[in-house]
Amino acid sequence: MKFFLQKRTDISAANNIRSVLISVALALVAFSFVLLASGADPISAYKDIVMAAFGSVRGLSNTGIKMIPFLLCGLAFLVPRKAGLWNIGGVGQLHMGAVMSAWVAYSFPDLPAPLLIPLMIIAAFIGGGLLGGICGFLKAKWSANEVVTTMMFNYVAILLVNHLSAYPWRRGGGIAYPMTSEIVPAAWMPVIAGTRIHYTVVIGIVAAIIIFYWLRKTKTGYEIRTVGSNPQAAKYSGISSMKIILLTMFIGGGLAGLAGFGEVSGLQHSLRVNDFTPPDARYGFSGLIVAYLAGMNSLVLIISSFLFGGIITGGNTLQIIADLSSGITGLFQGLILIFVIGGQVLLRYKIKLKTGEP
Amino acid sequence: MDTIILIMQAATLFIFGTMGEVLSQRSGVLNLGLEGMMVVGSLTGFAAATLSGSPWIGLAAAMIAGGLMSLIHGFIVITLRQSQVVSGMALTIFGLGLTAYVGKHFLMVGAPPRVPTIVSGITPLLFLGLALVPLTWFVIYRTRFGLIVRAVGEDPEAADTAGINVARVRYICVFIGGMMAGLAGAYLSLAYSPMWREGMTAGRGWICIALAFFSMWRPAMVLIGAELFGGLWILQFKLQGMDIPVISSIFTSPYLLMMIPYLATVLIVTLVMSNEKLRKRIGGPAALGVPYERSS
Repeated sequence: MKFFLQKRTDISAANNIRSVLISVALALVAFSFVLLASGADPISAYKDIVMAAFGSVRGLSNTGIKMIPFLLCGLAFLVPRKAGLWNIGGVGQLHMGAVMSAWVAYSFPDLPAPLLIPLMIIAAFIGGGLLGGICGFLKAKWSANEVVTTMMFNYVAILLVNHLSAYPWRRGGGIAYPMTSEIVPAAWMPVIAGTRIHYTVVIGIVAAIIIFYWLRKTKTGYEIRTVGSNPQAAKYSGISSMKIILLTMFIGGGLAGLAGFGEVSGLQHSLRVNDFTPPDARYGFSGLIVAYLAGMNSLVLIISSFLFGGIITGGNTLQIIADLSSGITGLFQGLILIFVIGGQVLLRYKIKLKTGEP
Repeated sequence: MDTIILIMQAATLFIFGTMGEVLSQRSGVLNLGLEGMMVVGSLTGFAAATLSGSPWIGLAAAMIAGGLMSLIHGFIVITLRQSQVVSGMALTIFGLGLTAYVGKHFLMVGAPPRVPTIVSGITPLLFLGLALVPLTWFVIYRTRFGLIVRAVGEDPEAADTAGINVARVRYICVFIGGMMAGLAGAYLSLAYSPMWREGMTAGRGWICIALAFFSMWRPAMVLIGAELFGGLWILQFKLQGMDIPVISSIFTSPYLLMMIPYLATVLIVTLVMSNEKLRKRIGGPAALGVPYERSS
C-alpha cells in the first residue's frame, strides 16, 4: 500500500483557506506538545496569548504596532509573487526605506510636518522600490535569479544602516550603542490617540485594498497574473514581461520601504546598528509567512498580519508570565510556516491511496 | 601569520557549510535553511559534548542533528513538491526559535570540551576543511555518484528516463548538506568560539548560501570565496575595535567593506546568467529550485 499525489484541478479560494486553517490547527497541536514538554498548560497558555494580544488597549496597541511592518512586508512579497517572482528582499527594502526617510528628516528639519512626512513617505517608497527594482532589472534583462539578488541586497542595506548609525549620522554624547540622533518631532508620524499605533497602519490597509483591486480589476493586474501563471501565453499575447517584472519589484520594494518609514517615523525615531542576524524572524521575512497565511490574498493579509502581530505580542508576554525562553515565538512562527507550506500540498494535490494496480 | 590563521579559522566554517549547500544545489535542491540547520548543529554539538565530555561525540551528534533537520526540508520539497524558498525560510526560522528555546538550559554551563588543537590554535578541522575542497571536486567530477548528482540537477527528466531514482539522489544530497551544516555549527560552538549563545551563527549560514552562488558550485571557488569572506569577516571585527576618526573614511568603514562580497555575488550571478556560453561552460544545476514531477 502506498500513497501518491494526484494534481487537483479545482484550486479555489475556499480550498485555499481550508488548507491554511487545517495547517494552522495542526501547528497549534504541535506547539501544544512543546508547551506540555516545558511544563505549561497549553489551553491556559493560548488563553494568555489571546488576552495579552487582544484583551487590553495596551495589548492591542502592541499588536497594532507589529501588524504594520507585517502587512507592508507581506504585500512586498505578495505583489511580485503574483508575477511569479520571489522577493525575499523585504528586509533590505525595509532598511532602505528607513534610511531614505531618515535622510529626508535630517536634511529638511525646518519643514512643517504636513510637508515633511509626505516627503519622507515618497522617499522611503522610492528607496525600497529602487532596491527591489534593481533586482527586477537584473532579472528581466539578464535573468539573474531574484532569490539571490534580493537576499544579497538585504545585507547591503543592513550594512548601510549600520555604517550610517555607527559613523556619519552617529548620535553624540557618548552613547555606547551606536545609533543616529533623533529625527525632529515634525517628522514623527502621529499616533492613534491612547495607543502607540502610528497612522502608517492606515497606509498599509489602504495599500492592501488598492492592490486587491489593482490585481483583479485592471489590465495591468491581469497582465501581472498572466506573466505569473503562464509566461508563455503572456509572451504570445504581447505582454512585456520586462515591464511587469520591473513594476512588481518596484512596487513590492516600495511597500517594504514604507514599512521602514513606519519604523523610523512612527516608532524608533532613529536608526541603529543591527546585530547582523537579518533572518532572525524579522519583519521582512515574516512578510512571507503572513502572505502565505493569507493564501496570497491581499485583503486576507490585513487579517493575517493583525493576527500574526498578536501572536508575537502574546508570545512575548507568554515567555515572561510562563517563564519560557525568548525562542518560543520564533519556534511557533517556524512551526506555523512549516505546517502551512506542507499544507499547501492539500491545496494542490489529492492524496490518494495506491492499491495494487498502478 | 596570526591574521592568516584567524582568517583560515573563520573560512573553515564557511567551507563546511558551503560545500554541503553546493552538493545539495548540484542535485537541484536550494536549501535556504542553512542558518537554521547550522544553529541546531551548534547547540547539539555543544550539548552532546558537554554531556558526554567528548568534543568528537559533539561533532557527530551535530552532524546527525543537521541531517535530520534537512530531512524536514527534503520531505517538503522532494516528496510534497512544495516551494524550496519558503520551506528553507521556515527551516531557518524554526531552527533559530527551537535552539533559543531549548538552549536556555545550556546558557550557563561554561565552556564545552573543545576540539583539541594540533599547533597554536589550529584544530584538525581546519585541515579537514581544506581536504574537503579536492575531495568534493573529485566526488562531483570524477565519480559515478557525482555524475548522477549532476545529471539529476541539470535534467531530472532525462536522469529519470535513464533509470535514476531522482528523489533518492536528492534526499541523499540534501542530507549530506544538512550534516555539513551541522558540522559547521558545531565547529563554531566547539572550536571557533567554544560556548553556546542564542543565535550564535549570526548570519553565517546566509553567507554560505551567498558563497554557494558566488562559487558557481565549484569547490575551488568555494575555497577562494570562503577565504575572501573570512578575511573580510576578521577585518570587520578588527576595524570595529578601532577609534572612530581612524575609520571615518568610506574606504575603511567595516560595514561598507563587508558589502563587497555580497555585491560581488550579485555581479557574478548576473554576469554568468547574462552570458549563454559562460553558463554552459559552468554547467550549473539547471533544475535548481524546480520540484521534480513525473509527467506521465
